[in-house]
Amino acid sequence: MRPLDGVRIGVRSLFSNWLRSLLSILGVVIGVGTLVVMVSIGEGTKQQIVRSVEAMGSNLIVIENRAGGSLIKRETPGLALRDVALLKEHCHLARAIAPLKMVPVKTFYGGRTSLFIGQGTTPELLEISKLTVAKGRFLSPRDVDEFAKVCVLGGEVPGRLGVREDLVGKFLSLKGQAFRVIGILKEKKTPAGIINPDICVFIPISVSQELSEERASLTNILVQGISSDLVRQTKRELTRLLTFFHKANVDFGLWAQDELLERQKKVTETLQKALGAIALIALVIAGIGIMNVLLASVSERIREIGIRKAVGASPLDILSQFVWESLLLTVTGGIIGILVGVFAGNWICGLLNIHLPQAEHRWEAPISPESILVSFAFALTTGLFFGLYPAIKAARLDPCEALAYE
Amino acid sequence: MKDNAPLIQLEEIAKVFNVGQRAEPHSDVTAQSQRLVPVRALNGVRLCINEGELLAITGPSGSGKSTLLHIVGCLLRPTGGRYLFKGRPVESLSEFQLARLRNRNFGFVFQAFNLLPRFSALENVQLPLVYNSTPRYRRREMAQKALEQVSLSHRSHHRPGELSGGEQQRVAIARALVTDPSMILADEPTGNLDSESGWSVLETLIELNRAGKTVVIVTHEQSIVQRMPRIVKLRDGEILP
Repeated sequence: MRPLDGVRIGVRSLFSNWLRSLLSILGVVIGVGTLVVMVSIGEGTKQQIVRSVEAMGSNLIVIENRAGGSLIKRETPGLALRDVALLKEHCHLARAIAPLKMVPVKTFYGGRTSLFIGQGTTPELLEISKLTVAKGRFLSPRDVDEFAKVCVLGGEVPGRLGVREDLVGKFLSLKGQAFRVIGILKEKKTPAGIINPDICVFIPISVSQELSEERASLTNILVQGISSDLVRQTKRELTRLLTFFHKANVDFGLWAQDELLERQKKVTETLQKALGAIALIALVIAGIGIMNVLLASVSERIREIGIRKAVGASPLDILSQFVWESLLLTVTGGIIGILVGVFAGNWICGLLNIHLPQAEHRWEAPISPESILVSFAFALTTGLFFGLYPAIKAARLDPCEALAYE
Repeated sequence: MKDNAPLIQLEEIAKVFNVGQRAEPHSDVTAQSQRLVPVRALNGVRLCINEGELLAITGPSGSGKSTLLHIVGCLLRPTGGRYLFKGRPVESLSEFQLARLRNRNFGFVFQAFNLLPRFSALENVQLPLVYNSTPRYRRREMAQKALEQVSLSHRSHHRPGELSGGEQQRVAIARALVTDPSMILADEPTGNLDSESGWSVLETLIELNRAGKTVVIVTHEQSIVQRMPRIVKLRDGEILP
């Protein structure tokens, strides 16, 4: 039998019970669509994180607070503001040092409440994170010393507040307190190191301590080294100094760009594998559904199989007929699933970006030709694998028994 | 094939079926219901069929007529004995080779017609040609020609459900003819037909024989048997002398 005839027989058979075929295809659409969405969102997350870490620059060192307890309530302060002063005084391999204290803030303006990431910091952050002021100014040393209730908004904050007017000089309610907006940053679009400045509200570090339950502790300290060639030495020096300051209590961690990249890659790869596994489970379930449908189809068509064998169909002809049917189901479902997955991925990312503004990165779902090919290959493999058993069962039918079947 | 060799030569053909036996009352159901009992359908059958012959295989119900026909048409493998087709042994052929042999050399006509209900008459007749890789445009031509031979070309686009019993059987005969096989094997071809349609079908088969086809008809109807130049009688799986 010619391959095209096998396809024609398969198409005819699927159309003869179009509702059953449609439901089988739906299972594959969901399975492949889920795979495409999961893989693309996972890839988008990975790319975003890699970009943000690469944007850090190779001479940036991040010190994180690893004091026991939770981010909200630590057992000991860990990193504290005094560490910043001590490092500035004693570390000669650092060009600039800035503290970061994360404080989730509920803002209220013009009758609208929104949740943003408050970052308590100092003026050095502007240079370290390569931020640009679009309007007004950034924080000044005086703002920190005088505990001034001022704030600088990230580039996307006015938009998310639904405000078109110029907010510089206006007052914003942060955690129930009035803060004067002194500046708005230019949108960076990509994360700057470990923060996404576009959705942050920057306030003086001294004020952030007052707004937080854990006054003393910091979230991070960012250190810009004097040279990317001296990063290792700078890390060693910082470790030595902090260990001394903390009396051998290692409640902090340090990493430079390459280590962060490696760590983030591992996290995102694990995430991608988990998401991919979920999607594959969906595809397996769809495959089982197809096998079930084909087994029912074989049972209903025993006599037809006997007739075909009587007129000269070989076991291979019968096998290929049912394999073609299975492939047609999964390939059709695969193509539709890929299209659905592409649109769904972008739609889901759009929703996440609107409803999860405090996320450290923008959700994206890039579609690569490789991911489409892989998804298609999975659909094809599902069709071959789950279609084979019913096909073999049909091919092995005895023609005389099949012809006598009622 | 050797010049004077018969088309079909069966030597000591035997066929045993293993059938499941029902559970006996008050017995261990599990053990009894699983027992397979051998049933000897054919026992030491010797038969030669020459090219161009017209013969009937007859006998009471359960005598092995259909089993013999299915073995002749390579639809069933014998359990024992030897089968030579055009002088060549058939026992050693693979399933693929048997399918090819069936496609090219045998045309089957069944009591129940066995047409595909969702296909038109023309598509049903084309079916054997699909399995010998005949190009699509040739298939239509050949199928149309076969339908003309049985005077049904005007009904080529009708489905079996739209045809009478006699017409369906003639479509089945056209399907049997389309690959120009050596033999037509008809298993109770008039069994589901009224007498008029039955005679019409029988006449068609006789005409095909006159045109040179070897025709073997399995039947229990004496009216048909009496018209056959050669009769093979079976009882309990053996040919009566």
